[in-house]
Amino acid sequence: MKKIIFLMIYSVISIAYVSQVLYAQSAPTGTIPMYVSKQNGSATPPYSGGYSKTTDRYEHGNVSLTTQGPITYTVNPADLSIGTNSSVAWTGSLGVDVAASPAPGNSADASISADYSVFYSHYCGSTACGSTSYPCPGCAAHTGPGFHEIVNPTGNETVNFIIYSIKATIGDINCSDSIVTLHADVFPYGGTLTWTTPFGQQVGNDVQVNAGIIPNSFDVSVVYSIGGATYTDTKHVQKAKLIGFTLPCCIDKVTNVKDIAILSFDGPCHPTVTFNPPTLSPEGLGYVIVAGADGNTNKTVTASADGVSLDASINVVNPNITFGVTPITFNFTSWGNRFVNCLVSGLNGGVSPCQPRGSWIPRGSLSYKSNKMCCPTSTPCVQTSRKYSGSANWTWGMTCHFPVVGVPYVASLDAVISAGIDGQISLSAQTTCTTTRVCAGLDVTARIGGGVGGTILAGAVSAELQIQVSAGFSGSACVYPTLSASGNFNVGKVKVVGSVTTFWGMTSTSVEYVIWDGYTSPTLTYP
Amino acid sequence: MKFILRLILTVIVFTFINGFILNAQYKSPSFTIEKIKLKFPAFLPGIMDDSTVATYLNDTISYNLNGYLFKDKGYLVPVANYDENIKSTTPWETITEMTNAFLKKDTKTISNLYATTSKEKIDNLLNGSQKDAFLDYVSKAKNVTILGGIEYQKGFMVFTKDDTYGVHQNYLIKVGNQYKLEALDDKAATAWNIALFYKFNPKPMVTDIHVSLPDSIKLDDTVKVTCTVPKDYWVSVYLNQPYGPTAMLIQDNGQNDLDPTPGKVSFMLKGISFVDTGMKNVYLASFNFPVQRVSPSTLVKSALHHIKVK
Repeated sequence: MKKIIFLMIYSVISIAYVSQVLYAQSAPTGTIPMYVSKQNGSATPPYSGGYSKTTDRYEHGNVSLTTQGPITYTVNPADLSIGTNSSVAWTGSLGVDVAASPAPGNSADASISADYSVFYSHYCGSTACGSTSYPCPGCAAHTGPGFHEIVNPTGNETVNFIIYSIKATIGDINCSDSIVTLHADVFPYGGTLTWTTPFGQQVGNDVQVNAGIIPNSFDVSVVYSIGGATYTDTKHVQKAKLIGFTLPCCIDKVTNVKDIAILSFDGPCHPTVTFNPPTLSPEGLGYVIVAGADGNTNKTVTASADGVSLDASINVVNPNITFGVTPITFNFTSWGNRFVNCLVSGLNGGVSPCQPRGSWIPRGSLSYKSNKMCCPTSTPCVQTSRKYSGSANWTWGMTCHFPVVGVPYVASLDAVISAGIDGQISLSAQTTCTTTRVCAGLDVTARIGGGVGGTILAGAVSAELQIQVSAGFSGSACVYPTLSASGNFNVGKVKVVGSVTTFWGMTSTSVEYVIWDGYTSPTLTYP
Repeated sequence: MKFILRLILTVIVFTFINGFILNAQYKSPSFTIEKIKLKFPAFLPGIMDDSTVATYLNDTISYNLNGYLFKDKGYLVPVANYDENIKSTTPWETITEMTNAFLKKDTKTISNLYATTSKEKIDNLLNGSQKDAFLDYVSKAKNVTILGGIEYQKGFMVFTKDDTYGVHQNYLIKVGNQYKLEALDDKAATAWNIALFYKFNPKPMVTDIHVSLPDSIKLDDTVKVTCTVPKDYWVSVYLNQPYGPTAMLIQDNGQNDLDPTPGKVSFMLKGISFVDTGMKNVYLASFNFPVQRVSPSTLVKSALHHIKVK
């Protein structure tokens, strides 16, 4: 019985509550959206329906309806109660109360609520079930004997709505070249905008229309429709005047002025602007490249629109004109001297029977070419770019003789140690607007080694000893912003390794000892 | 008849006297093995790592060995006519016999002084192309002195020194009741290190050497430094830090010494050697051998001097 009562209420207010999916702006789940236009009174059509009920000797009840928010309803007959052994057919409708609806651009919650109290007979089993139960020898609810009781459920059912008071406002009509963009702000979303313009009827939002020659002024109107409600807006559009024209500080390639022009207008509907010249090109600077020419010139451009002409200037840079070639030279002689001093000191305490050859001055073709470049965000914006290229190398060597005294059987033996350095610098880089430094590695190979050999004292002592040592060099050279270099070298432990025989081989001793612990230089700098 | 009797008597007397003199002169020292301790600087030139046998503490290498070391300057091997029948009952005896055989270029005795395991090697030398060079060399060793000996590997190593060639190692093995010379392929470091000790005869470091060092030096300049050292001693110079490498080595009247006066050392010191400017340390110490590597524990404060590098 309860279920029947519920369905009765629901059908009265029943709804095409489905799927037309009226877009409710932020409609809560289970909430039914309805729309109203306070501008013209249009609204979502009311929901209507009907339901009939016939009661038995036990069934009876009553329902009372209340509403909240801007909705209104009708029920016929108005009395929603029913007695026993009765039959009633109700019809009803529910719709938006336009007068009570909120102002355009707002929404309001609404609801309809039903309080009910119904009585009906309920089969409760084969035995008595309470003070109101009675025996029933047989009815549609059961076969054979049984008991019924009279039950009285009461309660409330509520259906929620949200009422949208729709609105549409035409925004700025933007014009650019011949294109007019039609835009309106709407509430709520989800409806349809239909435009009427001098350039034809359009449907949708942010619609772009090719207007050809845009008139000095024109009118547009729009109708927004959603859920049965409509709202209209109109706007008078005045074409703007060109009031400002600037260009970036520089360009360094072929450029359409239109793509870089910074234009100002006194409204959103811009006139078509032409430029003279329309294109800027570094190749068209039209002068012969001579020594000292810096590849930069200043150009004036005119922007014109509807009788208004404005000038702006820009630096046009040709990055391909080289106006200087500068050789780069390094001189690592002081590093070489340090290396030599280190070896000479470490091996033989400062005696210098060493024969150097070669040079620590790299020879080659390191240089940079100077060009101009455009750096729009820098001050000044025309800067000098350097293109570094080339390579230089150096080879240096040294042979040292020094006495090895650590052999018990002779005063000293002559040792020879040879050191060699092969170094190379290669450059291939070009500075850009953001370059802070240009550096290259110093590719250096160090070779060092030697030996103590020979037979002395007519063969009484024979030494086959190697000088084992490793050396390494690491560093880098920077050419921008200034010429500099840093590096360091290390010479590892110097060992004497091999064998010494005496008495024509009668005694042989395996030898390995350190004559010098090696050295790691501090960081050497250039210059 | 009288002449013949006189001749026979003269020969007998002469032989007796010679035998008496020989027997009276040649007396090999007794051979005993005792515990010996040997300590010397671990930074002698040529020292090899011997940490499995020796101990190291503060730049000193210490050996505890079995052997015998002669006191003072060692035992001078006598050279005279002696019985060619070798005895070689002690290592000292073998060395004495060897020295005399070398002196006389007595190839037979030389060969018999060697153990059979080395016989082929020595015989090849004595009969080969290098025979003359060998005999010529060994016969020129003057004033051979036995310094001492140690039990070594499977035998006994005797260290000798002579005025001609310096230090020499002599390896012997016991064969029966004789000590025979033996060839040796030595992979160990002990004998080498002890030979270096005998070669350099290291004396204690001297730091009170009256250094005359300027207060300051320019980085691109050179200054003269003077010292007073024991005759023929070396001066080791360390810059900035009290451990190797040595910046300079100067020997009195030798390498790098600008002053010919014995006991006076004078040398040039380069400012660039200090790398950069500031107050710098200079360590100067004197040894009787060239020193290139030494640790801070050796260079004491008395060796420290200061110089301002500008």
